This record gives sequence, structure tokens and C-alpha cells, in this order.
Amino acid sequence: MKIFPPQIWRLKEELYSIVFGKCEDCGEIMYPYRPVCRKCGSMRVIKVKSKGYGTLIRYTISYQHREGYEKLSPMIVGSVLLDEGIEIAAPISADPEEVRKGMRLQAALRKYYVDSSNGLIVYGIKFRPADQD
Amino acid sequence: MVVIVGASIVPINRYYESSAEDLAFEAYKGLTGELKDRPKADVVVISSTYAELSTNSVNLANKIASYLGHQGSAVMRVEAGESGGPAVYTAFSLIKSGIADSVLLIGVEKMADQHGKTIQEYTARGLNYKDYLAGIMPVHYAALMMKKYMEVYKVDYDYFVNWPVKMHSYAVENPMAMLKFKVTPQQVKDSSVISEPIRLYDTGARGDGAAVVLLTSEEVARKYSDDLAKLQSVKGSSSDLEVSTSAMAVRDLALKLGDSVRDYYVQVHDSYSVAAAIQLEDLGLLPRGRSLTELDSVEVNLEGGLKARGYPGGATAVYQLAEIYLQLTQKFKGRTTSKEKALMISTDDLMTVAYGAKVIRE
Repeated sequence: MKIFPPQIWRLKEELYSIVFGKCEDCGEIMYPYRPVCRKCGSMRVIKVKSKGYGTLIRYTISYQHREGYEKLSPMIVGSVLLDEGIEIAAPISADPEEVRKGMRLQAALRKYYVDSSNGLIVYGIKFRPADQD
Repeated sequence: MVVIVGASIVPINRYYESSAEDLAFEAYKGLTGELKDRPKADVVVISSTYAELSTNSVNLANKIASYLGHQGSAVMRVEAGESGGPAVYTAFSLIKSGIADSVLLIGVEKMADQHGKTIQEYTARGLNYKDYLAGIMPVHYAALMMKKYMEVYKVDYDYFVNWPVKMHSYAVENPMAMLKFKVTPQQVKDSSVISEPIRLYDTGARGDGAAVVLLTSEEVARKYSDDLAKLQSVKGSSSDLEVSTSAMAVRDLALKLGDSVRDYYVQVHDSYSVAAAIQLEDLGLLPRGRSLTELDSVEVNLEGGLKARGYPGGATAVYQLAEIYLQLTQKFKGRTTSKEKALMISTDDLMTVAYGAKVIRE
């Protein structure tokens, strides 16, 4: 995969935080964010940043990977119920031995991919086990 | 009225000696051998999802039309949703609207020239860009859907084993199938884990392929053939991607298709075993949470499905339409349906885009 720097730059808000859309007219919540409400068609959709905490409600451990993602294998991808009440799918940065349903998670910035053609590193949000209070 | 006057497919396989154009030609040759006259196409519609990636080539529609001698035809490539449903919709619309009298619909895909990891890379591009950059693949979403299905309906992995066992039992009878062998429940359960709980036998078998269908208006149909099938309607829908036990696009499609599908021979897009279950249930064909234990009560995917007949990417819907035509005109050489009406469901891997086509024997 060849990374185009402008594409990554444009995505910085989505890559480095969890942003969902909330329609100010009907209240519909949408992830990922988009400017038009899927329910009522309103363009009064505001961006809301998640606080980045949630609970793992299910997960899969994957033993196949794409080119360039060899070091991530086995990869864990989970359904995370954010504290704001939205369910999203996201990569989980945890040891397969420690991951379990119901565990508390918090968002963390992690390396996604290194483009070997130009050395560009893409970072983004993954979820890791939450710090104990 | 939109009429299917002929169809031809090549067996899905690994064709290292054949280009996309060569495969299209093989299917086209099979079609012309069945027709009374050389096909004239007002429009050539090509369905290929991964053409730019898998063949390092653009402008595939004109290249194939030219290769098949169709200079002068309008040409286009149509894709949305990985599996070809939009191309069927386009071909149908062109004739139904009166814009064209004949459309040569060609599905073609080259999937076997690359390593499996590269194909995973291609298919992941259908996800949103953030997921794609994170290394997520469609199979991860499918695994989460399967887990949710298991939780909601309190079924275990054995429940899903029924699908590949049934599909392979059909494929044994289909001379055009890619995986013509039976599998036992134990073989399915022992197959390699891809993204748990999904195992190898829960996924469609990707391969190279080409299929051709000639559609015409009623006025010119009998110039080509007396074995006709009517393409009665084609509908489509789309939705956001959700990890769910139901697919909104398929539910919406079922509403648009109207009457009960119980009288129809049905083909579903079984990219994963859980996708087959969800489609059968969203169509109202089988009860929720029990569909894969009641497969003997319906005629579904008698050709072996994506699981065993094979999964040629963007050519898949054209294969489905061709097989249904061959079934209804009693030319299909494999397990045959007793029904006179058929419905094909074409979706992407995760059912965010769904198309349905109803075909009736003339």
C-alpha cells in the first residue's frame, strides 16, 4: 500500500481521535462522522469527540493479515461500546491472553502502518486495557 | 419486457495463462455457440470490481468490447459493492427504459494472479479509509457479526458448519464449480482459523472467472433464441456498515422486491456462512436463528454458492444471473431447481449494498 501524505493529513482528526456526528435536528448519532444526517437529511450535523473510554463487548483474534501488517499478527479487532453509548469496531492493542469480554478500554495513539516506499508512518487510534482508577 | 436470450460461464479457477480479455472471450464463445445469430450489442456493460488493482489496467470496458469485436457499441464498466449487482441493474434499466434493445453483460475478474495477502489488501479497500489504514479486513467485521449472531441466537459453531457442508454437496454435481468435493462437518471444524470464529470453510472461494449474459427487448429476443427467460425486476438498496444479526440493505431490498420469495429458487451471496444466514432470514425465507438448520426445506444456491462454486469478485452477480437462466431453461448441468421463478441476491461481502433480480421462465 502506497500512502499519499495529503490523504493522511486530511484524516488527522479521525485518525487521532474518535469523532462521531450528532444531528442537531433529530438527534441521530452517526459513526463515522458525515455532514448530512442519514435519518432526516439535515445538514446540521455537529462533530462530537468521544472521551475515548469504553467496554469491549465482543472481539475476534485474526490469524491472517494484509501485506505490511505482519507485525500485528495475531490482530485483535473488537466491538467497543463507548461510554457515550455508541458501538464501534476498532483494533485492540492487547495481548491475546489478556483480552476478555467486558474489559474496560481506553483509546491510545498507536502505529498503524509504515510505507516502505517513503518511510511515512501512519498513526491512529487503537484501544488498550484501561488504566485502573 | 427485458429478456435473457442466452448466457455462458467459464468454470471459476486459477487461470495463469489467461487475461481478463481471454476469460471474457471464452465465456463469449460459449454464448455465441448457443445463439441463432451473432450478438449485436447496443451497450456492453462490464462488471469487474478489482480491475485496476488486479490487472494493472484501466478502461477495461473498451478493451474487452474491442477484443470481442464489438466496435460501435456504447461501453461502460459498472461497480458498487464488489459483486456485480449494479451491473445487472444497469443492463436491466437500459432495456426497460427503451434506451437499448440489446445489452451484452459481462462479468470478469482476475483474482488468482496475486498472493492471498494481496487479495485481502484489495478487498479491505471497500472499508472506510480509517479502518483500511488500521489493517482491518472485511473478515474481521464478518467474525464480529458471527459472534453477535451466536450470542443473540445462542448457537455454537456447529450451527454454521451446515452451510459449507451443504454447498459442497451441491458443487460436487456442478461441472463448472471450483471446489468439486464434499466436506464433512469435522473437516469444516478442523479447517484453519482465519479470524475466529471464522474458519477457512466459512468463506467464499475466490478465483478467476468470466460470465456473459445477453439481454434484449422482447422485440428482438427470438432473433437470437427460443430459450428465453424474463428478467422481471431488479431492485437495489444500501446502508451503513453495522455489526448486526440483520442487514438493513437486505431488509430494505426484500421490501422493494415485494411478494413472498417462498415460491422462488433463491441464490444468496454467501461471502461468509453468517452472511448466508442473515440473507435467508432478512428475505423472510427461513426463521431467524434457525435458517442454517432448515436448509433442507428450501432450494438455495444449488450451484454450490460462493463457498464451493467459487467467488469471482465483481463477476459474481453475472454468474448468478447466467446460472439462473441456465436453470430456468433446463440447460444447467448440475443440481436443478423444480421452480419456474428465481431470485438472485447480490451483495458486497458485508451486505452494505444489496441488489435483487427476479427471473421467470418464459
